[in-house]
Amino acid sequence: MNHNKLKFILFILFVSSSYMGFSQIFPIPKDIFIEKPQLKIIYQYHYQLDSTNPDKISKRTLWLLIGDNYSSFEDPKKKWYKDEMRKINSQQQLQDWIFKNAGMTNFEYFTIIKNRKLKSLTYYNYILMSGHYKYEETPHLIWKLESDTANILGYTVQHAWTYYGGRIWHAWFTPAIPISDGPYKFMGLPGLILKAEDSKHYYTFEAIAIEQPAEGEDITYEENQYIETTREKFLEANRNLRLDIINKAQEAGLNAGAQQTAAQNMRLRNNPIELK
Amino acid sequence: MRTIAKFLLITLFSIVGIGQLNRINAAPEEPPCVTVAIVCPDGHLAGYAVICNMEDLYTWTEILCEENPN
Repeated sequence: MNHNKLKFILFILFVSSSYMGFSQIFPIPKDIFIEKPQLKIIYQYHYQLDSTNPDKISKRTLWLLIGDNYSSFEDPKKKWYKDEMRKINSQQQLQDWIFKNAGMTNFEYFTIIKNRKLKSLTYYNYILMSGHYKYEETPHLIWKLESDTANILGYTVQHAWTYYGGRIWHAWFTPAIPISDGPYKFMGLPGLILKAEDSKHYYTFEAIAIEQPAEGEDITYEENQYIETTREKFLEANRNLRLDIINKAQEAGLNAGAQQTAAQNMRLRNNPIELK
Repeated sequence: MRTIAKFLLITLFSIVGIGQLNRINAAPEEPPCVTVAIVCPDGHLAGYAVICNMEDLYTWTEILCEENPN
């Protein structure tokens, strides 16, 4: 076999492997670039989804990426999950992945993109067997500034509080970082919010690091066929999922035992971050 | 040369085709669905579910499994 033939065969094999690489088992949405961030704040997020069980606290690590015009707030494990799914192209590979990564699927699926100039945000999330939802919101956060201070990550932080989503939220912000942004949907204070917690301590976001974003850690959103809705309708759709979980479980082919487990676990999710 | 090229291309399309066999037959516009065992962080089998996208896999795991209090 001469060199040209060998090169041609190698080229075909390369094209073949590339082509097969793209045949993922599920369609993976693309990330659409919005802006390069200047700052990354890493928050630890603790929450108690079952108000009756204080021993069951979920813990996550979420990133706030802040750019000149926009910021994003989401769980970086979501990108990891998508990268993992991108590599899977058969049912067997998927099943092997599930067995290997059973403990790795605990992350948050929502993304919040804030338009820092307009003080508005877009909330993106997924509802089981229903679809990708998004809604626009301009939260009317009326902050009451208090005089008490604390120290977080070496910054003196000042206390402020507001009412949002059926809860009283306490925030600690630092005027030393004059960026009017913060975790989740919170913004509008004269400094970066390093901690936010509801008055009953069910939900807490606390900054654990402030860093320069690495290359590729951009402000993005997922390209999906979104159902455009309102905040109120999204909350209602989430409540409806809780009520309809047995039907969804039947539709997904789960057996009677798993249907009951799903219903029981959904009943324990009685304490969402936004009550109304 | 042409024979080799034809052979490789047929092989390629066959391999890609085999990758689709495990999926439930669906119209081209519909998402591919597969039945998988949902396994919880503590290793127990939560059930078998028909999964049509990565978001449902994540959500069913979250709903069926007790959260790992890590």
